[in-house]
Amino acid sequence: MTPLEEQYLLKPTNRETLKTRQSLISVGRVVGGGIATQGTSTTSALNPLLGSKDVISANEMFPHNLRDEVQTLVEFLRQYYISENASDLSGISAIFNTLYEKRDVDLIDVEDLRVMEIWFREFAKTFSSSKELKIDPRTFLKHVRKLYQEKGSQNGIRSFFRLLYNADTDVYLPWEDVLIASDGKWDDTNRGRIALDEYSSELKGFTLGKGEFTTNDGFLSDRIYLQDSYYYQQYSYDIRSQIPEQDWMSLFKILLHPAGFIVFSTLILAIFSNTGRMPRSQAFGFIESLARRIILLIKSDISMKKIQEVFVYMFQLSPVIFNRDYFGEDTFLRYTFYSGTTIEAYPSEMSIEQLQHSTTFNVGSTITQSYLGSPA
Amino acid sequence: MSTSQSLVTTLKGTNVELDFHKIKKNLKDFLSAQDQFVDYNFEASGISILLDVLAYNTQMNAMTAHLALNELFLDSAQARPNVVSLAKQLGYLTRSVGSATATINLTVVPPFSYTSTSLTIPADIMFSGGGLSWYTASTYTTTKNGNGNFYFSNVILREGRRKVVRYYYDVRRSYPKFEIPDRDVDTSTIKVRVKETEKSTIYTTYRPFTYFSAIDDTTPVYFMEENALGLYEVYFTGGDIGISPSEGNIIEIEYIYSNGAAANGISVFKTDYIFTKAGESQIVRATASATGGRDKESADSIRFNAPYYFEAQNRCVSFNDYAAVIRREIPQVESINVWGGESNVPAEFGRVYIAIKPAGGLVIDNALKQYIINSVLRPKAVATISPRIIDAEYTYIGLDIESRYNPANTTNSSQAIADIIKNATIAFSNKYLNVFEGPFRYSKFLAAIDNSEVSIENTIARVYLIKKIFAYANQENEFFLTVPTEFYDFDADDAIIRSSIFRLNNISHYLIDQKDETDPNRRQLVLMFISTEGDQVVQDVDVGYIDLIGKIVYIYGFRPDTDTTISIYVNPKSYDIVPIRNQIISVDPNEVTVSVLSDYIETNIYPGTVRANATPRNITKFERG
Repeated sequence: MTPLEEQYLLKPTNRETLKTRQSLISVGRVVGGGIATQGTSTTSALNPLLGSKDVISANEMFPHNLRDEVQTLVEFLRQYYISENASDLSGISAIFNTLYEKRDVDLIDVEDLRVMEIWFREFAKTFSSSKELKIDPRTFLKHVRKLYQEKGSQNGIRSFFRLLYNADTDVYLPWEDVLIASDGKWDDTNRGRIALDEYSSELKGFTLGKGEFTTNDGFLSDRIYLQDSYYYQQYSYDIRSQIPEQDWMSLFKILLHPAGFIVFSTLILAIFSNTGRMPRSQAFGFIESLARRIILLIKSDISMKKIQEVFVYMFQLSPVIFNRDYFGEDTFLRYTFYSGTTIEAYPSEMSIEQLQHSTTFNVGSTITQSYLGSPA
Repeated sequence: MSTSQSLVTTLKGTNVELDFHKIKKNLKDFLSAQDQFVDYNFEASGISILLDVLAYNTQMNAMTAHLALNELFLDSAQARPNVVSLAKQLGYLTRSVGSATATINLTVVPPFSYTSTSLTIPADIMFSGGGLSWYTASTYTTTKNGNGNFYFSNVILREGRRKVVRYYYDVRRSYPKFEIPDRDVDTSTIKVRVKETEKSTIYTTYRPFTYFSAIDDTTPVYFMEENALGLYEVYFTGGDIGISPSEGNIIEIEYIYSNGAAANGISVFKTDYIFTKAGESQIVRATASATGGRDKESADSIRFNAPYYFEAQNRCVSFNDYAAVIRREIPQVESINVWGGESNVPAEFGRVYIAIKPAGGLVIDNALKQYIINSVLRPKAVATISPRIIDAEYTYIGLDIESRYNPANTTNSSQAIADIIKNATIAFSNKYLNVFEGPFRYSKFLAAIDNSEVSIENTIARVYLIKKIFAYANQENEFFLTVPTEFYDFDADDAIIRSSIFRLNNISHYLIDQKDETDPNRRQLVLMFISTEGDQVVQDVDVGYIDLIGKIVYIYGFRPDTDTTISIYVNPKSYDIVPIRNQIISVDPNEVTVSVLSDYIETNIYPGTVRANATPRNITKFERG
């Protein structure tokens, strides 16, 4: 078996260590009309971009027999080279020596807004600046092409929120819930059906039939919708995220939104999980958003009555509509509340903790609340 | 960007000087702070000369650093070869010169001895026009008409000169590229053919690279790019992708090189070619002036387009993608606007609207529209989305300009100043308008007029909108005109629109509007006639309407005595006119009136400015037209 080569406790590289490594191999650069930049250095090295150059020290510029006589002049020139090569970038030679860094995405200074702007104008022009990003701009620049290539797909939308906000998102296609006549899936197999008593589970009857619908699609009695040429139609999609629409929608429309479709957004209010809860500021800071409908996604055994009590108290909501829903890879039960008026503010006197306490939510329950904002 | 500012001097933490004297001073300060030179007199002649030399060296280095750093980035590079090279890294092929096209109707009157009943015009027949050469773009066939003539309609002529260059394919050269020696080649006309040997007569036609998915291992494909000399090069992959020529093959590159934008506007053509027999006569009539000629893509244009093309990744998903792809592929495009059907009025999901203004023209022809949809967009667009190209809709601006000037500050007469103002108005239109997303900004316009001549003290301009319609005498003409801004006053007692005079039943008529008492969001259109006594009389009160909310003028069907262009003058609510979707704003020079008056205050005609006469903002009655 091939032995495994192992190394431990290596220091991670960062911009400074990379620059140091680069400078080690570029120290011998000759600039300034062929005059050495390192007054006393005699290092000779191979620069990966410019090739090998020998350093000539200030001293070596003069013939051996004259050096002792012009020591002051040598020192004068040496000081000049030092000023030229000032490492704080005030020296011209320092700029030459670091020129390659400006084109190396790993070495750019993200605090240098001028340089960042020029990078973004080349590779991510639609983003007005790196300030919009919540992730390291260098990482973003290196991977933005993948985002462009995913345009028009649900993965593209997920990538957009991941790159900009490191946030989860999901896409709902209203068309999937639109009634299509004769859309039911018919199974032609003969089968029998039994009917049980709702309370006692005793057998109430038995019938034999030829075939049946295996799904509720196409049933007017199911939770499906008529096409409305607006939300429920085949060219619409609904993005669900925890980021308020005003933060991302305009950029999204320019960059990723497929022209010809209409995009809606649903704002996820808060997510409670087994391991923790989102900070209140992140979860409830949006409630100024004008919304008339709240969608509550629940993945646990919680008293429906309690939920209604709380939400009716908070938002004077109308009764609940029940449905199944999805976010990420999880399946939830969806409860939709309607408010008679626009919900403009969260009752300040009730904290999240009070809300959680008052509804006696089970520890470990997972609750997702979301607003359906106005369509973009 | 057009970064004229030095990137070097704005780098964070840098303090790099480009000025010689400051460099010398900095150097002097630095050296005098060193222990070895504390007591030196740097103004002494010897050391001062030495400092001059060193400062000069530093200045040269600083300039070189300045240029080198700027040329590293697409956004700041100034030298076109560097811009082209950086754009290549984004997968962007620069746009070549685009040859203009003209559409003509050709009548060939054959001699009696020509008995054939059909006639074909081959492709590449040369015409001349405007001192330039033009070629028929394809083959056209027609049959003899009742007059014994051959009538060809909509014959497309392309400007330029045809040329072919031949290369010998030498495999000993690594990665060979075949240069097209003319900088003004129109790359859309390039045809690459390869034959086995000099004596072979069988050619293999190579096609330009578009997608990897369109290539298999038997596809003859060539690639193309612009080199550092500004010349386009054709190259092959040596068989790595598709097939490539072999050792000793002859490569023929045929193309048209053209005069680009210089050919736009030409409308008179002729040919020496004899289509039937000697003795024939020809009538050539252009249906419209030549359009679509474009010069080679500028560095500024590359800087603008390449990053968007990179974002598009050669696909059409967002509206920006459609614009980037069309700008890249269609050299005739001067201005383009794209919007999804969801933003259209009325909304039409599943559709993308594209409005294109060609260079040197107003609308693009149907053949080019079909080419763009089928060959450019369909392979790159979302499958279920249907793109639709619509014509630009023009709204013209008329201006009544009144300027006050101080005669003491100029030698120009008031008439000369009026001419200067009119030219400045046209220049303003050319600079800021005539494109989609080119709004008319009132304050900017006034500033341009005030700055056009040194003696102008102030300016007032009344702005009118003009929609031009062409009505045919032999048919009912209905019009549906959209206006880019709100109308002046929904509830005005006087008219807010008025048409120019046109002849109907041999009487002069015009249109105005009046209140619709039944609907506050509408105004009725009224047909007026001018009696022989000169009285203006209402003839019909319901010949159309204005939708005040939708900003639409709807004119019911009418039939003028002769084919005629009618101007509809509109009094707008705002003097800032912002076009949306397919609207383009342009100043009509024929609708610009200029009045230049001596300023009371500056000329001090009345000491103590006891009298002044300012121009009124509004006229009491809208009588334009």
